[in-house]
Amino acid sequence: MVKAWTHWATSADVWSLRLPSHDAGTGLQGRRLGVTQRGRRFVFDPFDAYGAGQITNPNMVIAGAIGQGKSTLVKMLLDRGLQRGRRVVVVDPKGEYGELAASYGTTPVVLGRDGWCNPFVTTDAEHRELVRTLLASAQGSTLTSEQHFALDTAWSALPPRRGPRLLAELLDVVSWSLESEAPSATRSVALLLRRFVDGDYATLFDGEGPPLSFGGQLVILDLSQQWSSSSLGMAALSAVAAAQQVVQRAGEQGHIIVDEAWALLGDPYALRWLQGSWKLARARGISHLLVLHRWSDVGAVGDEGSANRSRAQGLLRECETMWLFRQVADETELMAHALSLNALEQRVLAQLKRGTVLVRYGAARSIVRLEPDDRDRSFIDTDAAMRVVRDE
Amino acid sequence: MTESTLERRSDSAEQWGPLQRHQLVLLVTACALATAWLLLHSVPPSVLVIVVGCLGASTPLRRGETVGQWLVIVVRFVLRSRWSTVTITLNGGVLTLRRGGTVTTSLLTLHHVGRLDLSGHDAVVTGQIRDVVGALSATATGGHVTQLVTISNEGATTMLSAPRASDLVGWTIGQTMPLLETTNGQRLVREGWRGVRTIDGVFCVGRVETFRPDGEQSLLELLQRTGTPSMLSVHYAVLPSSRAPRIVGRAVHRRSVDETATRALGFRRSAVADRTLARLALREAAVASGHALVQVAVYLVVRGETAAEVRNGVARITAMANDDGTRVRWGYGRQTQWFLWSLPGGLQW
Repeated sequence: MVKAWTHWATSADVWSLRLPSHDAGTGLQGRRLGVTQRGRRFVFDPFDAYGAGQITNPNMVIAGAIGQGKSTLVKMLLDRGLQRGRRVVVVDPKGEYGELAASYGTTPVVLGRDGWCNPFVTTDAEHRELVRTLLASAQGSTLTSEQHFALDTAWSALPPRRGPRLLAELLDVVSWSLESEAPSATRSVALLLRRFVDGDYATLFDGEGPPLSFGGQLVILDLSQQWSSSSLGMAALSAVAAAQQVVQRAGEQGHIIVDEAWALLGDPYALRWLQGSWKLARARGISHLLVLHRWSDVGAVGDEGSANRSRAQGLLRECETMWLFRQVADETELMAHALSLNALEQRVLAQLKRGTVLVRYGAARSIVRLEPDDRDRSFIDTDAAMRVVRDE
Repeated sequence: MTESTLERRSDSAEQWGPLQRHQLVLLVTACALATAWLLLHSVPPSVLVIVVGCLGASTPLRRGETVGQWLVIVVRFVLRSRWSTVTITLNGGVLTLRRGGTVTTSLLTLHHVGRLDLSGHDAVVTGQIRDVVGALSATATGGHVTQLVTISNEGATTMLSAPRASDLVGWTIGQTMPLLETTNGQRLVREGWRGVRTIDGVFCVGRVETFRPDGEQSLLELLQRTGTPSMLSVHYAVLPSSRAPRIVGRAVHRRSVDETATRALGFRRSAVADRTLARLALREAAVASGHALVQVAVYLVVRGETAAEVRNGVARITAMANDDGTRVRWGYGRQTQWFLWSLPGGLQW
């Protein structure tokens, strides 16, 4: 007589007989990004996840070593956003998003070549704050009280009906100070403004002709002309500021994707400005997505214990959604420290395979193997050039 | 598993040394008849046929059964009806199954986002099950607890059935009966040699007979990674704490007597016997310290649209289990019975 049971045990053995529970995924609906390890399809949309109470802000960070699947994930995420009718602006310092742009019938806008960005289309207070950020960033130090006063004075002298070239108009107001060689706060402000109008930052925030008009659902701002120059940080700031206006102008939800985000995080003034706008993400319906390749880039934004580094790490920690790909060993430690990863997460991170990502979203964790569908495959071919070389 | 009170090999089949009880009976009978034929002239030579039959019937087959057991299974399979009906009522999380008997149990579904625990240890769920088992052992009648993980192409669902478990944190009321995807009504089950078929698909039921010798990782983790649509159910039949010490004490006593007899016959005590006695002692100590005594069974139901699909799944799981050191026995010829046993609450246990 065969019995229904097979073993005697005690309740102490429940531990041995545990069935590791499956990964339930997010429970959100939509096109899947991949499948979870020991579980179900993984669907993620920052706005849906926010609506479902899984996260408290829609900002995201993607980090990982080269070739692990970051670009694939970014493109999959933004394609899903676009299909939901959202506006997407990509700040692309390397010119990698051409194929995606082509699939949406648009072409990347090359900053500097095709025109300049005009981020000054919102409120007066926001404009003034952005100008202060730009000047401090160009100067490399905080504006002095005299400079603040000079700027405020110049601001009040602006005509009530302004054109799009705000920085040029401001320079016009204070240009008289350049005629004198005597140092003064107004002269220093004028010199800084001149850099944006006629100097090394020209064509970023000011230029001849009308500013770039960002039409269409998908805007790709190609910063490849600034990629290896010292103006990359400023260009990134210009692009993000413009991107926020684009997305906000639509009055709908939108995504801003900043690739090579260390360029932005490395500038303390840009970082401070970003921190402010980051916090307004919920109110504005904007999901920022920062893409970081090497975690040491974040470390490079300031010395250990410096305010800038703490601010950068704080900004990243505030992101409740993180997509962490495998890093090289020494980078993993830095990432773990910066993001307060626990020992288990570090261990998992070190064992991730290519195309597999550890996702932290709110209190939940998932290990997801990305599975691009046919549509995704048409625009994720980031290493095509490598294959051409191999074929040859 | 060295510190576990759980034996690697199944201990529901009574064994004396390497032999099962019925094998021993058959061998003793064969020896007695052969001796009688040799010594007594009145015994006809036809007795030798019985001797050969007994020896043949006690011969073990590769999958663990003996020829005799296999013949009994075949005869029973041929004689019984292929059709049976299970009546299901699921109302407000209370599941009632009827088929020759009635099982009433609460059905809960684990509700969570992502992974409960990145390590896969899932201490929270394990702790909850242990609490439910402990609570049931304190009752006069005990009860039956089942953890079911259903793996489908869409993902997985974890469910728990227990006589009383409605207030567990993270669990919601079960809405659908696992395997037989219905809430109310009858399900006709047609039995085949290698599986059962219902309107919901084809199923083949097996159970874990031998666990792998490693208690650090979950013993069953590998079976969850089959990639085959399946259901894994772990059953705990909880004995009331009033009876548990007596049952464990009796088992220890019986084993000790057997060992004494074995030694008296001049046999040395084997390492297996040593280990078994050590586990019994651990079990006795665990029960004495307040742990619940349970009878355990782990059933694995492979599901598919066609019999071929199920056969492939069975082959894949068998291969994986063998590699892992876990032995799964597929209940060929008694699939309906095993299918019912695998359901929440263990119908007809």
